[in-house]
Amino acid sequence: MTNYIVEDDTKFLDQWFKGDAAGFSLLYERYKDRVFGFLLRMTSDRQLAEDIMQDTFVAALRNRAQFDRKRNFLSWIFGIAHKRAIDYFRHVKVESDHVDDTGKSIGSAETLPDDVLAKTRLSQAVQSAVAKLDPLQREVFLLRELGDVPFKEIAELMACPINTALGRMRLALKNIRKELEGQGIYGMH
Amino acid sequence: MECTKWEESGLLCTSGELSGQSAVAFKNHCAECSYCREQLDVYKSDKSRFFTVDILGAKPSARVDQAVAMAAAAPARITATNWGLFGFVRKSVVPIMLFVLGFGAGAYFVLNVQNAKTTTVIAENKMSKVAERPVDSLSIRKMANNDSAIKPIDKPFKTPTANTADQILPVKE
Repeated sequence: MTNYIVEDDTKFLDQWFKGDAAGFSLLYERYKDRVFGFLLRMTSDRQLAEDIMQDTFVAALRNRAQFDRKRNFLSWIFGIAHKRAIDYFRHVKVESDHVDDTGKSIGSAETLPDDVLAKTRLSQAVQSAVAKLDPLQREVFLLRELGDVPFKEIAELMACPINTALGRMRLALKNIRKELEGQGIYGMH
Repeated sequence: MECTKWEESGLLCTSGELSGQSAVAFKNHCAECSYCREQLDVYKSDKSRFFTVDILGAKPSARVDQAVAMAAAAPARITATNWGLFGFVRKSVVPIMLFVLGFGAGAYFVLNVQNAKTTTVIAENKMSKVAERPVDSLSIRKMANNDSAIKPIDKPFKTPTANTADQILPVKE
């Protein structure tokens, strides 16, 4: 799966590096949901997540020369998004009351058929479990699962030893499982 | 009982970061360790069911799409980073100019000093030659040809004769 993504990325990256903006637009289309999902769950604020997202991709456009072609584009863009989000949190003190805005992206589930309703319930349960994670565990989990960022790079991004990153991931998985079990989702097929 | 191998190697195995030998070692470990085997299976199942882009991802509004599309379509700024050699030349214009100016000034100074020394030596040589030469009317003439300030006397010097001596008025007492 990962190799397939990287292979196609190379085609789009070549296009972009030759000066064709369509290459970058295709990469954006491919990864925008992942990056936005990461930022939305990091910030819990749709407007803020959109601003950081825009900032992230514009920064990527401007700093094309800094991209190492041996690296994965998704990891690189997640690195930028992560840095922008952390910079934001460093400069602005965010209110600690946790307003979960992630539900807005899903929409109303009242008139949906049963299977869609079940999917929506599952989505909300997982998102709720992720939202309840410790911020550091959530960061590692989202970088790994949405950004496909290797643990080695996660450790570099978070300025911690790789064992700490692995420990946070283990706890994140454990806590999500526990939360889903509590909601009666876990084990449901 | 929890096995530490899951955290140490299992997660790295799922991300594809384990080297060939370590990956084989972990697979062999899984054959013996039920905890690691179970964790690996559960993780794979969770990943495919819960940790998908559909569930964890989200769609940004059209505003962001438009802003990024506009930024992508805008012509790239000319920066030192994306203009390779041009950027290097642009950055090094001032040092190169300073170097050229410094070199020029140095060369001018050195050449002037050299020139002044040569002129002095030539002048000194000339003077010494002139001083050594016997002074006669011919050499004075030659020198006069070179130097307009020295004018030769065309008329031969007359020695006083008796006639001229007579013309000398007597001193009144």
